[in-house]
Amino acid sequence: MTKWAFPDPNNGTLVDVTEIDPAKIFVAEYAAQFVEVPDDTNNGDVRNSKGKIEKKEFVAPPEVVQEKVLTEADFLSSLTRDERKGIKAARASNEDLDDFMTMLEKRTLVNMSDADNQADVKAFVTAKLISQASADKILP
Amino acid sequence: MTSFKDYDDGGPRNQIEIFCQSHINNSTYGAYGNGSFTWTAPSDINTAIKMRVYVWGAGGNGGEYGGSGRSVGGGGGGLAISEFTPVAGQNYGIVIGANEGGYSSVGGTSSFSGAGISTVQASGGRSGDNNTDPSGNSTGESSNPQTGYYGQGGVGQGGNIVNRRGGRGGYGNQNSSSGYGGGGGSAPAPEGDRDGYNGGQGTSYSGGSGASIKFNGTNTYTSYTSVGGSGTAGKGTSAQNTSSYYSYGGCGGAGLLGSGGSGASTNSYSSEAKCGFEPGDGKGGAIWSPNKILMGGGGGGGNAANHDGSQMSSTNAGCGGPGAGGGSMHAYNSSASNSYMLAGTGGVFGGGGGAGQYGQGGIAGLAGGGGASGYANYGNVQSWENTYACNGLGGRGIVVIQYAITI
Repeated sequence: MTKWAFPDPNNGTLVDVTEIDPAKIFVAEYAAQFVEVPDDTNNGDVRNSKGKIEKKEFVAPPEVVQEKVLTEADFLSSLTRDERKGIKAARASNEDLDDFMTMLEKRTLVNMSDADNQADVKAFVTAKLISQASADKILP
Repeated sequence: MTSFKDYDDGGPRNQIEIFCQSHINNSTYGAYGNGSFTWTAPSDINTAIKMRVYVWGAGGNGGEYGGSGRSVGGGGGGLAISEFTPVAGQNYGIVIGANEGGYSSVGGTSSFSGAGISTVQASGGRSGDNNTDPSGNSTGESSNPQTGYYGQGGVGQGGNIVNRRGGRGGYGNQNSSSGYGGGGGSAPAPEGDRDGYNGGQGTSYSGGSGASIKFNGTNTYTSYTSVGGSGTAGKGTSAQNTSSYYSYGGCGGAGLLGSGGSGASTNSYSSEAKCGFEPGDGKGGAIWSPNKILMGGGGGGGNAANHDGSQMSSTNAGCGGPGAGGGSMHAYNSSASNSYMLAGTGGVFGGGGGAGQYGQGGIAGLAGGGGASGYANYGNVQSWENTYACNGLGGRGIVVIQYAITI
């Protein structure tokens, strides 16, 4: 099987790859610029300056990291009743905890993929306000 | 192939067939090859009436990927129209230009050929990072400057009625924090009276809109504003201003058979964000008949997006009707996060809308140029199977034949 393609003069990209003689399907001026290419050539492959065919590179899209955003209800539901009571009692004496909870109440949600929020939750574990088991439910 | 049999619209021909398919060459990454068909003139074809052939090439893509290339919109495919006396039972070859998807590629060439006739072909539009001058220009219009511009339109060749160029893609500039994509150029109108029109130019954070077959796409007025796609009866408008509290998108241009889509609106305050209106799609339809092809769509409305503190609200842009361009998309700040809104797709022959950084450029309708993204970080291998966020794809080519059978 003979195959032809038009090499784009801008960058050698091969287009209009065809198994039909280009002289039969394109106007003469255009068909005259076609070159023979290997059977496995596809549109988008590149013919370099030495006439070698380079396959079009497939670049997978970057992985999309889904952020973990919890609503206020989801956040509180991840805690035990005793932990919720403890947090309520400790807010008056723990500024960081009070700020975290205030923002949660104002925004009604918290992005747990955010590094600062993750550090806050880990600090609450260290302060024994919440257990590691509860933190594991909250953190990504 | 679509066939409308026994349709009478008052002209000499009574049949129309439309070809617009390409095919997959490589399933691994969805590389598409040109479609190839054989059309056999029916035994009862009326040889006393000349058949008419329209050939449009494929559109080019938006021209950026992850900091490479330019955020220029894709050019529209060219158009060639011929008439000739058909021969009953004879085979004719049809090629439909495909689009392999690269940001620096060229859209595929469409053609119609056969024994006893001069081959009719239309080359594809250039993608936004391709500055190849299309060969065969002869119309004398300014849609393709021929001096190294990016995203030029394809060219019709061999047509004995008319040969036209596609419109050039709108200018853009790639930047990861304030980029803007140009709108896609349009293919020439089926009337063949003019070349295609150019896509609109963007401004920081804001894409230009897609062109229609009768009007250039609209440029953005200032940063953080969207513009409506141009319609078949008027240009789209640009929004005036955007603040952290409000955003109002530009409206789509009027269509010959329907209105343009309204622009979207959003509002945000310190404790609340809401979408006032979704963008409108262009209204109006199209007529494909044995003696007439008329595109009457309105342009798609522009998107809206704003951001006040933690409260943010945003929409996609609207899509163009037949022959019209898609609305553009703007971002609300320099962040990548939450900037993945979509510009509108173009209707058939129309250009896709351009987008701000990280936004998705609009895919074009058949033969139209794709809209560009201001910064496209999701893949340089665009294909019809992997339509993740990146630049808008150019539309495939299309061949239409009109003829008469003896009744």
